[in-house]
Amino acid sequence: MELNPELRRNLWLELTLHRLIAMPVVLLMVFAMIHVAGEEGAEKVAVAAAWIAGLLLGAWGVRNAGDCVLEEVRARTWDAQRLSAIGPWSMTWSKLLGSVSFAWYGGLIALAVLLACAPRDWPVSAAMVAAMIVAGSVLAQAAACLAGLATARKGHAKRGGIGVWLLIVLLVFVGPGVAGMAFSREAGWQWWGSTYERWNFMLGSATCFAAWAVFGLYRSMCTELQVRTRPWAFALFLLFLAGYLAGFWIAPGAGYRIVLYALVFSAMAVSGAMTYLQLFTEETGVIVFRRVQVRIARGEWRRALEELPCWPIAFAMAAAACVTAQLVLPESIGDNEMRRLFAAPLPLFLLLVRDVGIFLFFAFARQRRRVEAAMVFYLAMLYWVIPGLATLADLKWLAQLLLPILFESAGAAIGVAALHAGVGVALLAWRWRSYRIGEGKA
Amino acid sequence: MTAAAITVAGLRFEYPGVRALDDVSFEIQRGSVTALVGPNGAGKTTLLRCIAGLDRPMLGAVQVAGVDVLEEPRAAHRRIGFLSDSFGLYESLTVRRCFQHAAAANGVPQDALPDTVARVAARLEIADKLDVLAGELSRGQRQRVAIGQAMSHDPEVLLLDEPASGLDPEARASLAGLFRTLQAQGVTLLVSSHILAELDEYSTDMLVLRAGRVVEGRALREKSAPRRRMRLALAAPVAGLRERLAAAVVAAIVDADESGALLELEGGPEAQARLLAGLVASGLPVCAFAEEREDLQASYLRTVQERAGTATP
Repeated sequence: MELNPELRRNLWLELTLHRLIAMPVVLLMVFAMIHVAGEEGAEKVAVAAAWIAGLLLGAWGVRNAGDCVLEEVRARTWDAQRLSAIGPWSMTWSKLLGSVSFAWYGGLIALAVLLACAPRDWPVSAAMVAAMIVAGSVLAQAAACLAGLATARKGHAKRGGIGVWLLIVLLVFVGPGVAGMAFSREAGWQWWGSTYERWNFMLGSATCFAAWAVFGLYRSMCTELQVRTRPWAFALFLLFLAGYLAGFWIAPGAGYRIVLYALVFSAMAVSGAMTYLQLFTEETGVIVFRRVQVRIARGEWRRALEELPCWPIAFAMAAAACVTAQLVLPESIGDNEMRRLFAAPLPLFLLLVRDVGIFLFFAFARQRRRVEAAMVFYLAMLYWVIPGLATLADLKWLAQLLLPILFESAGAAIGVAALHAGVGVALLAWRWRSYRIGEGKA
Repeated sequence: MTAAAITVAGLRFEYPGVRALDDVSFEIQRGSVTALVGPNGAGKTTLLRCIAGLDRPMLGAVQVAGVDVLEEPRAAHRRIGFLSDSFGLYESLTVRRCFQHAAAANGVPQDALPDTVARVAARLEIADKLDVLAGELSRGQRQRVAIGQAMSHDPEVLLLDEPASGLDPEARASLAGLFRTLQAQGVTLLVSSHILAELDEYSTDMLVLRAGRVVEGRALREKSAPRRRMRLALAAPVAGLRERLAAAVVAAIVDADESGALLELEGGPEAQARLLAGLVASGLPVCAFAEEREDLQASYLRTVQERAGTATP
């Protein structure tokens, strides 16, 4: 059997004889010390083994997975890999497994110790904990590798440490939700009107998202290795995510219209959020759109789709979901603090149009610099700093003008948000026209 | 099988606000060594990356060994070896493992790897370094390993971007020898370099790129019906030399003064011998008569000057 050359290269580098001996020796010494240090040694060893496996796979593994492509770009070996005969799927799994093989080596030893030492009377079985660590690690490692690939494509390879940054983002944004699920007193979780056992649901979710992350990495690798693909997989993922999140909003016995609205609003929220995420992580320079424009002008629709970034797909889906949401908007959505937000699909979408316009205004500049940082600054000012200061200063009208969803009247919110969108579109149109004039001079 | 190893048609590539390649079209014949020359920023590296299928052009078509690079980039990669000007090596691997990885990654079967490694190492005269870490090699040796990796799968076309930069004269001479050997084995080479004297040693064709456009593409050494320039030097000045030559010699007079002339001759050594005999028979005090070969540097500068002259209103 022929070993995948990329996996073999990684194994040459990761699994040296010294490392193969050192890892079990160090781990066994740590476990032995914990075991002899006090009472209930076996249970303490099991807890320590779970933590060590989590740290090895979830921290070290994520760091290595995030840097595996970036290191190649930095070492200037990535072009040779892109020209090689290794297919995108082989490259995906060999990079994902190979770059973290040493972390998995240690992690699997720790998981074996966990399974051997955990008491049978734990509220959650050791096998479930081990499965959660494995699924969560695969998810985080694949996401880190994907983020690394996106960073490399944006030409930011020198910045590095993408896995660490991703871990921080996951801990800050996803961590509270996962911790809430894990430590909730509820025995089960309501999802799409049914109740699921908490740990089973979490394991199912983690496994499902891990599969999506690996598939996303494979698709991204296809693009990197010049395999022609169209963005249907991304659209499918958005639909899946919208369906997954909508399930949490739907109470048992919810009416047809509420279910439909939850689904459509979820699709809009997911597509909108992914539009921002993709804008920040994809190539957004003017050349990308010039290329698509040329393809369309020549009637090469298939090629245009192949070269289209993912954010316009998310944007188009957000637009479609917004129109549908506006059509199926229920008369009463509920009486909570989020009511205003949920009842304002069109203003929210118009603000997205404005933000896309502003982002591309910066991105299409001839000498673009720190587009993402500039955009974060303006988003913070527009959504948080100025409306917050205006509210504190009792200038409610100013806060409403900047953040139209604060208007009580839906009509006023839509009108002002449309003005915002107009400003964004005008900025973008001006920049696009000025580029076209510049083209002749080049 | 098409005659051309590389066919580029109407290639356009843009960077923001700059057209790096503008309607670039040319053909490169199989088994040739083409020098890709031009000033900094002319688009040489961008062109090589487009041919290799690493960067996607905005418009145009590229074929390598009959395979459409834009339609089937993966199939084209099998036929291409590419050495970037900023190549990298896996520093922590030995040279043997670098070659093994490159060959296996490029589709060489497992059982053929040892032979492939030995053959590539011998070709690049680096067999004695096979068990040395790539990170411990000198600049010239690293360059050889990088070229070895690029040709480990016996590609039909080798694209080399500044392959001799940073090499000492000995390493350059050795590299030139390698390129001549590869050419003799039927490999087509497209080599970009600033060191024109070095390119002159092995190039058969020249492609001049300037501001993203092909200024000229032509053979440096014609294989059939050669038109050669012969420099005639006289031992003593002869008044009215141009007229005497016009009357006695069957050759075009490019330039002449009292002490010598530059003649253009059609034909091989026999024609050259006949011309010399005619010159001596006409009583001219011939002290030297030799082919004046225009080197790549002169050819490039002449092309650039001619184009500049054409461009001047």
